[in-house]
Amino acid sequence: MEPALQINNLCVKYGKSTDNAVKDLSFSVKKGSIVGFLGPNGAGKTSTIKSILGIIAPYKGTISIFGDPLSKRTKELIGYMPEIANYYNYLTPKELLYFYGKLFNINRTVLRIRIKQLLTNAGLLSKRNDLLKTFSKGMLQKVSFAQALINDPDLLILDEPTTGLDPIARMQMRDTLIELKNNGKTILFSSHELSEVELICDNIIILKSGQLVTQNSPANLVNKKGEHVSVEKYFFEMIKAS
Amino acid sequence: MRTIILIAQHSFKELIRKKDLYVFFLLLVGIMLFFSLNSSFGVSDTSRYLKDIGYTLILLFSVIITISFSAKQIPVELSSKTIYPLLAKPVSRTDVVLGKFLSGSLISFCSFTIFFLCYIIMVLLKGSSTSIILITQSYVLTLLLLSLLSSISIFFSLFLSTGANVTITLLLYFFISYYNSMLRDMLITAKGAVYYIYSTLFYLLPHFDFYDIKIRLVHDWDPVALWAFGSIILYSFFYITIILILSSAVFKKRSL
Repeated sequence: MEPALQINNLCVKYGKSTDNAVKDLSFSVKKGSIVGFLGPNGAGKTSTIKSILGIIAPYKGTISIFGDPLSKRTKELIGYMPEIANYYNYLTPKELLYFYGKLFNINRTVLRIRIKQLLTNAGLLSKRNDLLKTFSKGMLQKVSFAQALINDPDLLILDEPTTGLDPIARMQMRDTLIELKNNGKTILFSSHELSEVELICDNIIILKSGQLVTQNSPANLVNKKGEHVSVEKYFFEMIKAS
Repeated sequence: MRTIILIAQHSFKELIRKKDLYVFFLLLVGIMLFFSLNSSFGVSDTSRYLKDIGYTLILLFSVIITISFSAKQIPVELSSKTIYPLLAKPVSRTDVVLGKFLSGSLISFCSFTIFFLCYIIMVLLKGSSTSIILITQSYVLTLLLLSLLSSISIFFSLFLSTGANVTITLLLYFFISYYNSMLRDMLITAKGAVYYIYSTLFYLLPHFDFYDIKIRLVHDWDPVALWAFGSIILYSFFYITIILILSSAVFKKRSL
């Protein structure tokens, strides 16, 4: 089966810097799986995500989404939730979702139904006409998650999605991700919440200094002694060792 | 084109909801009322004086609104990081530049249209008559001038901080508006290398003086000849297109 995302020998650098933010990175994400994208700060996770989305152009390597190189058409298959975005303060969540939805050229009737559904799922239907500047950080995260789903994407890329959420909202988001996976969606998400990753991911990818450290299933993680370990323990061992 | 219009619409909506614009409106209405209700400098027939000062004021306010609002468009998108979810959609960097230019122009068109209507009403109430062709020409030329300023401001916003951008674009506008005729005179008498420097500056810098027909409006002179009017429109489209192409190229190269 063709992977949802295939990255080969990706190299990313910023401006005239001689140091690569991402170095010769290769990995693939299977269709219908949830993959945790892990690494310490500055490991190259966000740079890789930005390359996948076409926000920055890699100077080397290839990226294919459902078998095709990145284009306007493949972008229509992707939903993206950024790590931090102070969404337009003077718009309401309904207007924000409508704006993003129209960028995908979604039919007005379909879009209205979808916005209502997404805001209901986020628990923000009653706040649909409030300006975003009145929203708390957690509420903005929920809006951010809703905008990532506005085009009903096949590949969902989430950068630190649970930051700022309370434990109940975190649990709800985990449930939503699992539900999306069960509906055949592919999810790649970066997180520092390793216990959360362990709970829902089929696979984890660990990066350090822009390079791939490992790609494995949480069930198959073993330490040097051959004992099964948690994602958290494995992560610290791998980061220390590499 | 649909994407560009969508970006422009939503940026325009956000700008309208901010209170900044209303401060300009109130200030201008206050100043205009002051001038129209007072017989200044002991002159009894103030209609010509009002036409002059009124037009200068609405132009000045529109220029300030255009430059300050356009200068913020892309930097705000970058500082709030909303540029990332936007570019993750089927939207190119060129779409963003063009959408932001369009919203900057739209806001300046709207404010100038309101100012201009107030101005025309005030002029008519003072019993002054002005050719409808001249009114139309001055309206169209000012809209073109504001679009040109919006594109320049968008271009500078890709390199400069908002404060520096507003200052430089305003200085450029005032400098060229007031000294372009002097540059032309210097060009006529210049020789050798100096001639090339002056001619490069003369042809490269935008001719804001083309758009100034205030004197015709104030003194009820003949309208601008049709060929000249058409040429200024073509010149504006050409200049704005070049600046937007440059802006798009710069923005594409920029690390985000």
